Amino acid sequence: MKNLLQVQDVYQQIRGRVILDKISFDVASEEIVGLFGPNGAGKSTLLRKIANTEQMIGNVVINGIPNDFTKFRTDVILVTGDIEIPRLMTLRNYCKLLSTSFEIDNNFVEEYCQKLEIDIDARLGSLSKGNKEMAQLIACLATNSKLVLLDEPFSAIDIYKRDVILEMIIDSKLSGKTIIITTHLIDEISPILDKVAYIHDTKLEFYLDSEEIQEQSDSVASYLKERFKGE
Amino acid sequence: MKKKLLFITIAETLMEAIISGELTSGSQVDSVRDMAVKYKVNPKTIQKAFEYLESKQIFFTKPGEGRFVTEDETKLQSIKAMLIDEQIDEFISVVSKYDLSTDELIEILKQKLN
Repeated sequence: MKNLLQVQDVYQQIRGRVILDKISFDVASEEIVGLFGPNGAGKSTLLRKIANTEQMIGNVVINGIPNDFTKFRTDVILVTGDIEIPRLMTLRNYCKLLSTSFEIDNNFVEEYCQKLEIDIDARLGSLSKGNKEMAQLIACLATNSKLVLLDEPFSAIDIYKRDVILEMIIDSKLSGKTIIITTHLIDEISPILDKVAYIHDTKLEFYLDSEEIQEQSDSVASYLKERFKGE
Repeated sequence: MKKKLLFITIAETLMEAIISGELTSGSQVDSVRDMAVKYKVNPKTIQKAFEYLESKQIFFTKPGEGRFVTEDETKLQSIKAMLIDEQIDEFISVVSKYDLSTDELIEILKQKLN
């Protein structure tokens, strides 16, 4: 399968402290990759580098085109809970705004607003934290970005809605998207992953097919515990 | 020891659904997408489970129409036999911890089943 993303020797240090130490891996088109690691391991930093929102050493190539910090690219989109969403806008307005740069699948927006019980005409600032996260997820997954980076997409979302989020991610893969996802909810996300990447102590410890992990352990979570016990 | 892969677990769940009548013989099987959403697994895993069931002639494909559950009665009986065999093995491995003789075990089963 063709590689959609190539990450080559990404290195970052802040005030003399190394955050990411020469991270390299490739992601094939239409795969779902789980990016795991302890808090502060550098997962979010790596996603920002891939999303072209932060400058650092090393190369990121998406769809054959290297990231250039001065250029805006529409083939990658980063979804994070911290991002400032336009509070005065409704989700409908927000999608319109995004449609100036991206193609938006409006059917997708409507379907998942209904399934997640999000009022498309409510002011985004009036939504609860979980609903804001879901509104942002819907809008970003509805774009035609080939590569979607999800940083902790479940953090404020209740367990009943999480299943719908998984459904959204499965649909996005089937419509041709490649997805990298960080989350602490390893058990819930693992069955839908193609690959598992683990960052530990600034380095990429391993990057494996999720089937390879299943052959060795009951679950990805128990594999990680087994491998890193005592640390 | 190699663990059971997720696609095998899914394939077994589907076989159980056939035996329980939840998936009726001769009926059309849901799409890969719908199954992936139902079981919350990667579509590739569903694809593999389908291929596995096709290799065992439990599912078959009608060109242009989709995937169906077998109507072959001997196939259905053999699925049942296989699932029973597997679950009995599991049962035996659980009760073997209690150091029961075969006669004692049979006696307990008889009482329970009556």
